[in-house]
Amino acid sequence: MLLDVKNLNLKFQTSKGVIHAIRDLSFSIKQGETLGIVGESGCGKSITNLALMGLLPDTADLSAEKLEFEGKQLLKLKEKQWQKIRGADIAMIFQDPMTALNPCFTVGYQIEETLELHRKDLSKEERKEFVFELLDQVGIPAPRERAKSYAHELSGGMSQRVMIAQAIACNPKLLIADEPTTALDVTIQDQILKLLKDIQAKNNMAMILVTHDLGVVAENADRIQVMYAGEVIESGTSKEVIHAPKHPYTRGLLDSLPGSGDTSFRAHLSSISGMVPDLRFRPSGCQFNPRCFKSKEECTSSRPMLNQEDHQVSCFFPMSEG
Amino acid sequence: MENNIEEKIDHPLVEFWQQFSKNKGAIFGLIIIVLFTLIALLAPLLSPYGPTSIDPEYLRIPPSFSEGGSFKYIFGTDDVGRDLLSRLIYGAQISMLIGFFVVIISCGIGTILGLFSGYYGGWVDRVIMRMIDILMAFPSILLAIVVVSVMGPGISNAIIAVAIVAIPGFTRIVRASVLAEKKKQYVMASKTFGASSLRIMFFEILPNCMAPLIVQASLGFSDGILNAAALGFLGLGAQAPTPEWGIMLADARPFIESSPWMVTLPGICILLAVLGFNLLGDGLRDALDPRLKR
Repeated sequence: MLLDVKNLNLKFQTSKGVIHAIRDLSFSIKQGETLGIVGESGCGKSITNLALMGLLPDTADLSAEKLEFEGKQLLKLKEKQWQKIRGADIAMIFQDPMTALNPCFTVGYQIEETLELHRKDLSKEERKEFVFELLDQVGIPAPRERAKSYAHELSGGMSQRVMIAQAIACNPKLLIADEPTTALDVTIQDQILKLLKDIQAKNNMAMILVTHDLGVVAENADRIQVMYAGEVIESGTSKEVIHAPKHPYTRGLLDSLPGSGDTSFRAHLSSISGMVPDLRFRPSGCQFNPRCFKSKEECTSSRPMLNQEDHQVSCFFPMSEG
Repeated sequence: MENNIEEKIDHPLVEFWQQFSKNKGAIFGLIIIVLFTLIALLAPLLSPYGPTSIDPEYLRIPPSFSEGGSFKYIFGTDDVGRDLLSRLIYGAQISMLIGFFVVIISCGIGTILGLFSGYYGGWVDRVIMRMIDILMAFPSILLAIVVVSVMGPGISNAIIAVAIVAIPGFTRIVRASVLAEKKKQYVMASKTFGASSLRIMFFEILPNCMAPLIVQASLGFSDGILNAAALGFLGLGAQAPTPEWGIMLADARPFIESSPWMVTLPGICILLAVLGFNLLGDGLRDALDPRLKR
């Protein structure tokens, strides 16, 4: 296992009370594998990523039974050790590439900076050459000229390519892609995802693909993990989760895709009624029960746990096949 | 090929110059400053006499362009027969040096304090900002006088005193920009690439805070010159034979009615230098601000 997480809990102390943002999160990821994480805004996807990078704010209280990366206990790392891992072993790309690049420097310089931090074996000239190579690798035409541009001179797609170049500069073993295509238009989305897949295959890199676009994960992830209110509620291979969802929430997400139900012109999209619960006032029992069409008494009285099958689900009344 | 690309992309400096050169006042300020800087650098070549050489034959000779003036001393002489023009030229050298060192010291310390305060927040922020508040609670010239009277008068002590007075401005400006910048995603991105806190502060955030800092530095230059001249005038800055504008003003005070040029000319020099830097500062602010909004 490259990354092994077991019963990760994350709490925030706020003036209005304790927010239990992530509850008993367990997952693992193998080398070269793509894990898709899906869920609504505020379900804890992004904060999980930050926890994996050791970049939680000071107010966060993180505990886990196990949080291992390549056998290293991440929870015990000191800041200096973290800095060696970040960028070198685990890298991250962001939702909005335009703001993730420093406006003051040329993009070439920014990629070079990452190399300077982690590849001390390269000389200045070698680093420069390597930057051009990386830009070429992520499909940027005329890399030598482009390296001299600033972030505001590049389009969104180009910026994301630069971010990817920066992220893969040190050949990380795990790439966390936090909604890498949300800010891009559809044609560019496809190119970027293809690029990520190519790089992944070439470097045998594991990838966590966070998104709320089910289409994207369905095509690109090996396994999918559905999160709701800081918990994993369903996890399985992409095929299983997309074609035979077991949790009513996953079912609801899939149903709310355009074209999944009534396909007549201007038909109403189906949606899941209600809202994500306020994490300060979690409902008792199953977190999804106030919005669930299958909700029974048992759902409010006790909390379902992920079962231990290959296709995991935490529901008392999972959807039957089909 | 190479040139082609260079032309297409407007370098930020080019863009800045286009904005800046539209502002006539700023250009005027820049010209004044360049002139003063040249005069300061070339002082030994430009001045006809030494700054302290005395000609007992010519005491309080008015400037050549007024009645009774002599072409030997274009701006006239002072009460002990020193050439006013030479003294003013050397005075430019001293004032520019004072301004320069004041800005270097106060900007350096102020920026570092502001960076730490803004970036770390919490108790670091509270301690630093309360210290700054204490500094700001005193009227600036009074504080400078206190510092000089503790350390003793002299030009280097005057520089330190004036620099201390100028620190709060820099700290507050840098802190405010850091607070805004540190929330941006590029900061988080560089963290994920393994950058250390110091690196992020000085190499990622600081360059993005440069615009207001440059403006403050150019205004700080004029404040520095003005405060140092005031200290000199009070006898707490540079000491007597030094051709400093503030001292020249103070020395000429008894003769303000009989030989008004002795007061007027150093006064005009101070005015021009301060005006030049203020105009430049305003121009920089106007030229740099739209970039901030973008």
